[in-house]
Amino acid sequence: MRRISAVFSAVISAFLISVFSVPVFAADAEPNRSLVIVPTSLELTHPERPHSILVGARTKAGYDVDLTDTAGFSCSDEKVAKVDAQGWVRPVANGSAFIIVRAGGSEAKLAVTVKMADKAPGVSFRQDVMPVLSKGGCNAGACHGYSLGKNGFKLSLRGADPEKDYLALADEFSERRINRHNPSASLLLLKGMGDIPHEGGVRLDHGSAMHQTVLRWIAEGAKDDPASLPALVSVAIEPKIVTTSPGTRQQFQITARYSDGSIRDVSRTGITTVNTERVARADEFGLVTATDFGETAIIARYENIFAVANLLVLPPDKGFVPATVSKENPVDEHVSAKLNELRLKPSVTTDDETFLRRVSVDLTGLQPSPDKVLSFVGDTGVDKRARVVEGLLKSGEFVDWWSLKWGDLLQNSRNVSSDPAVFAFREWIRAAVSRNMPLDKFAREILSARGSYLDNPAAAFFSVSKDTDDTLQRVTQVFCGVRMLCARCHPHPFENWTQADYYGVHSFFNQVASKPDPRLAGVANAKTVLLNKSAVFSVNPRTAKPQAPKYLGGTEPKLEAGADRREEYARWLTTAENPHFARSLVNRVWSYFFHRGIIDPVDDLRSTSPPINAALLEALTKDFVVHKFDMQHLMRTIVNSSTYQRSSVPNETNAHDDMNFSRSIPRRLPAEALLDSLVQATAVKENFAGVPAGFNAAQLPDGNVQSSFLSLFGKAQRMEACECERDLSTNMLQALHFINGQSILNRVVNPTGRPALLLKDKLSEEQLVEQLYLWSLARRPRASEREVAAKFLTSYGEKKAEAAQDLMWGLLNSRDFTMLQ
Amino acid sequence: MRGFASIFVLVFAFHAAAEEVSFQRDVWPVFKRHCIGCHCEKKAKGNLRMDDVSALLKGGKMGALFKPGHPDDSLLISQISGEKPEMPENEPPLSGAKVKLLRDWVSQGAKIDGPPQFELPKLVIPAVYETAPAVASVSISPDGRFGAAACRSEVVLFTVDHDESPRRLPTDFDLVTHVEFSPDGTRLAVAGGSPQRFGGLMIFNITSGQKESERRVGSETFFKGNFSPDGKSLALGGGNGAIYIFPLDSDAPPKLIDLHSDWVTAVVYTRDGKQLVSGSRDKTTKVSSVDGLSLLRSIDESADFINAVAADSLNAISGGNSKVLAGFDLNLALGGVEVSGSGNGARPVNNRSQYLRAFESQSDAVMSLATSGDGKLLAVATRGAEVRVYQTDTRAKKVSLTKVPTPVFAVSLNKDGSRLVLGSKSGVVQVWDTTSSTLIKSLKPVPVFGDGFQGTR
Repeated sequence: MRRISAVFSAVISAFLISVFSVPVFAADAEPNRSLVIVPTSLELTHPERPHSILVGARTKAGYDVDLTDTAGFSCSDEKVAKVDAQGWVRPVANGSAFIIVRAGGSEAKLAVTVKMADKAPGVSFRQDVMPVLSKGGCNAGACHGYSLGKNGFKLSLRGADPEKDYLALADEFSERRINRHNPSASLLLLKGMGDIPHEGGVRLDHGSAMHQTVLRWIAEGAKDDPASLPALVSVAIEPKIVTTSPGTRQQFQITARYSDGSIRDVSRTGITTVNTERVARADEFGLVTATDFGETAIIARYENIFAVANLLVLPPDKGFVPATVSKENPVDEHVSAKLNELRLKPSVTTDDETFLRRVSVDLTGLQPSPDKVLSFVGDTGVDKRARVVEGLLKSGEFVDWWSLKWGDLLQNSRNVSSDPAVFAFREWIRAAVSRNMPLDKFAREILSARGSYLDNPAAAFFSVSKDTDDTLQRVTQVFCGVRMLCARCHPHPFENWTQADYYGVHSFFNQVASKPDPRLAGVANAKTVLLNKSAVFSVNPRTAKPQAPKYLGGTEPKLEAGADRREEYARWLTTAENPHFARSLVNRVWSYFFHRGIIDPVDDLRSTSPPINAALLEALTKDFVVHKFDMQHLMRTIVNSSTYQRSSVPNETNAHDDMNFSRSIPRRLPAEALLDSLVQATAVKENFAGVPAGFNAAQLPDGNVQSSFLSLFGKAQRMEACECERDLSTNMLQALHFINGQSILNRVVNPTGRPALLLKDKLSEEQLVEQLYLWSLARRPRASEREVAAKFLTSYGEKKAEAAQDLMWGLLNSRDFTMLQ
Repeated sequence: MRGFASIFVLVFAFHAAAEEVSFQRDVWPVFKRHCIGCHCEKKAKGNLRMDDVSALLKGGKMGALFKPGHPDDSLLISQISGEKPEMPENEPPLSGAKVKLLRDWVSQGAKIDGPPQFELPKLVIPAVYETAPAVASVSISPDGRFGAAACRSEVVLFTVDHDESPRRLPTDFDLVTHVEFSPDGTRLAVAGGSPQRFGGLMIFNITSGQKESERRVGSETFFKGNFSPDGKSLALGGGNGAIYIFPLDSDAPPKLIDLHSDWVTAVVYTRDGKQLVSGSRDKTTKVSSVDGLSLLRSIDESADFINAVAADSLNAISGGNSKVLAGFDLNLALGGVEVSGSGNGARPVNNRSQYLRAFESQSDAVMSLATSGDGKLLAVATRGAEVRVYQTDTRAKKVSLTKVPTPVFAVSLNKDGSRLVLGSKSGVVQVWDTTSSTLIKSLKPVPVFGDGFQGTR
């Protein structure tokens, strides 16, 4: 069975199910009596547009079962509508009737109303033919949707431009691609069905519904649509959430809603895909088979609109007892609720030392020193974790660390700005972080800054951009977590952004120009940010017309002539109602404390990449807005949660979970944190060229630093406004550098290095081991480790210095140093 | 069970076939579906063709495709098997059943029991049409008495001054792209073909209505073309980027000038018959030498496809989707260019701005151009609701016909330019008197149901 292709195995299993009527649930998981019918009522207005019915039930154990295949359907009045064995309802004549559904010993009814127009509508190019081109893949980027087309035939990418596509299909070059008088001899069909050689392969099967649609459209004269054709308004997918187990199948229903209010079932012409392919797979008609434990979004696309459902694939229920959901912290409230749903038990709370190291590195980029570890461990107060968090938030290292992060995101760099401008902007950011400037104010001040560093250091943000396109992409990516680049040339392939959205934002920022600063003649890269208030709006190349400023995914505001349009954008961006700003920042900040964002990646937010825990993101966003965009409050909420403080050791239920925060997933320390922690551990500084003496790694002004250590561990170079610039992966070169390179070896053998310093203190062997563990790993050795270390030191005999050096070298080479456990 | 019925048939077909595999019945459909998109005559990737028996036996660059009786030593099988099969490229692997079928076929000796067959639907020219066919090309005889219109697969000859019923000349082309009266008015050239299958040319005698000759060349339709001024040759734009020059008084094969990188959408002779002006989907307008069969100069690169070209006594003219109509002074453009011999030996003297002769701006994409027989007038059809006539010497607009059925796909002028015929996508053909801007005749060349034609389907 494994070797047979997906289609064939789907055929065979569909065959088995229907012939033998094998229920998909086990005997101990009988469904409840009540059936869940989708939709709850039906209105059919078009003779050629049937609508499907989904039949489901929920087992007592909480699994959803798709009964559509085994259900029986009948119609109370076959003169009004007919229903087939698969649950598709077709209109017959105007009137009302009921569809009766029988499944699992239960019965349900839904009303069906047929309201068809007197005159049968023909096949519509936009509503019927274009979806076939999309489903067939004809207009995909690798095929005729390519910017130059293929083999002389070009379609707009994913059907973005129906007017042009109509001409290409039904008009261009003397109508060569269709033959209205011999429809089946049309080039379009001969190629698409492979009857004459087609490099793109067979896209339509003879006799298929897609073939029939195109054939009928051509036979009806290949007409263009009237201007009055209702427009597609929205797309929906049902069911929205499905809880199931591996091996079961679920049919999804995709419906399209038009501007005249009509609803059409497009399950067969829509495109269904699965985000996490490990968990499930989808066939071409929206039938999804769960394959492995986990969770995935099911994405439905119809024309250029997406809808998302969620599929949970759970292990069998083995007496799972849901945890009590505490409402004390919004993080724990929503994570626990989700874990209960997934039947996952969270890992236990981690020990004090692990917690302290984790929270110190996450908040300040530095592991705690031995005295801090010992005093924390010795503290018996119940609120000691919260107290240590407060201390970290107030520390100077906190300012270093978060200024570094913002410097990365805002791309402050001497590659593009002058030395004084970079240091001035750095100071500006440091002041903002240290005063805990609300992030809305922070964004507004940056986005409306102008002049040179002499006037306003934040203006350096704009002098980084090559042009307005660059500014637009940085502004949307940093402050909204949205990537707009695709929409510059065509509608975004995975989001509903169009060129109107792109150029709408473009027009907000096209008044900005970055020019050499005449006051700073002779200073390399000295720039000043100027505003041309009379700049005309940017031209949308699709319509060849100016596009008025348009909020990202929103409306076009009325702006006074001569206004600084950026200010209006910044005002809109930071309003409490803005759907992007707070949400993207919360998600981004979250990702700095866990192995992933609630939506991941954090700077590619789109409806097709849904949050792993929507309620969590919503609650934190709301809380962030209520607390006036207070970043420290958000961080406090996160690190004080039990969720943050969990152990990385899995229990019997959560070993497979790497998405829902049921345990801590080990993360490598970022480059600067690793180096600064190494310096602290060994007491041997790292000297950087081109910056003031004494700067540590977290204080560096930009990525323009010669340090093989930092580049090997993925320090951000600030060339792009993307989190992906910082590389947190682990690789062999890093391991070899730790083992063979000078960074560690030179430090531990240094005559003023930590081992030498400790030896001077004439410590007992046991104290020496403890100190080396504390400095290297910010924890005390465990009993077994003490024993091994003692043996290790003894084996060196009189070579005490060498023994201490080698022990420290070994500790720094362990995963306990490079990773946050 | 959701619409899988047709695949079911396949499943069982394969089962039945496992006994004795037939090439024609079982193997060819698999090749046709998965292989020949690339391994066909036109593409022959890896020098391999799988749509022809002798080519199939010969194999490709990597050697023989199969060793009869030995599937494990056969390239055909190894290419489609394994964890990640090499073929089909960029497509999902073949199903297990199909791989087994091909294995069985090779095991059984790889017998070819019949040639590959493409089942293509038969073309039927309706006696009466459901919708009027678009008129792709029109021509008016030099004396202005006859008109011809290309209506999909047939050509209709009609008289301008009488209401005789038009004469329908059927072809076996899917699409007639070009019709033209010879300069002496005795013959009618009909060119076109079937897209991605063949190019075709037919010559009809006007007086007898008989087909004088018929040829099929290449694998793509021809586009627009032009009789040489002496009427002895016909030049046609080809789908492979070449101009085809057909001798009309012998059966000799056409001569080719291979000069464009995409379809040659239109080609015309200069008035002395020595040069050809061609426009292409590659957006360029080029001039080539008829005697030398070689490119003389690319005289223009437009922002979009060129749809039509023309030539008066001094200039080459071209227009297309960029909505620009431009003339180019040929003497200046070709100054310094070697006119005879093989190839372009000398550097052109003048740049584009020196030889460009711009016309007024056009409201929409230029679809068709025509000069009068004497070269004094130029007719221009655009997608907009207007056909314009210009004087070629001054490039001044002489006539504007605004009540025309849009979009006009084709125009033609008679010898002195007094009569203009146009053909529209709507299927309507009109003849205009350009001296008085009056409509002489309007017709739908073929009968259409419910459109004046009373009859039963």
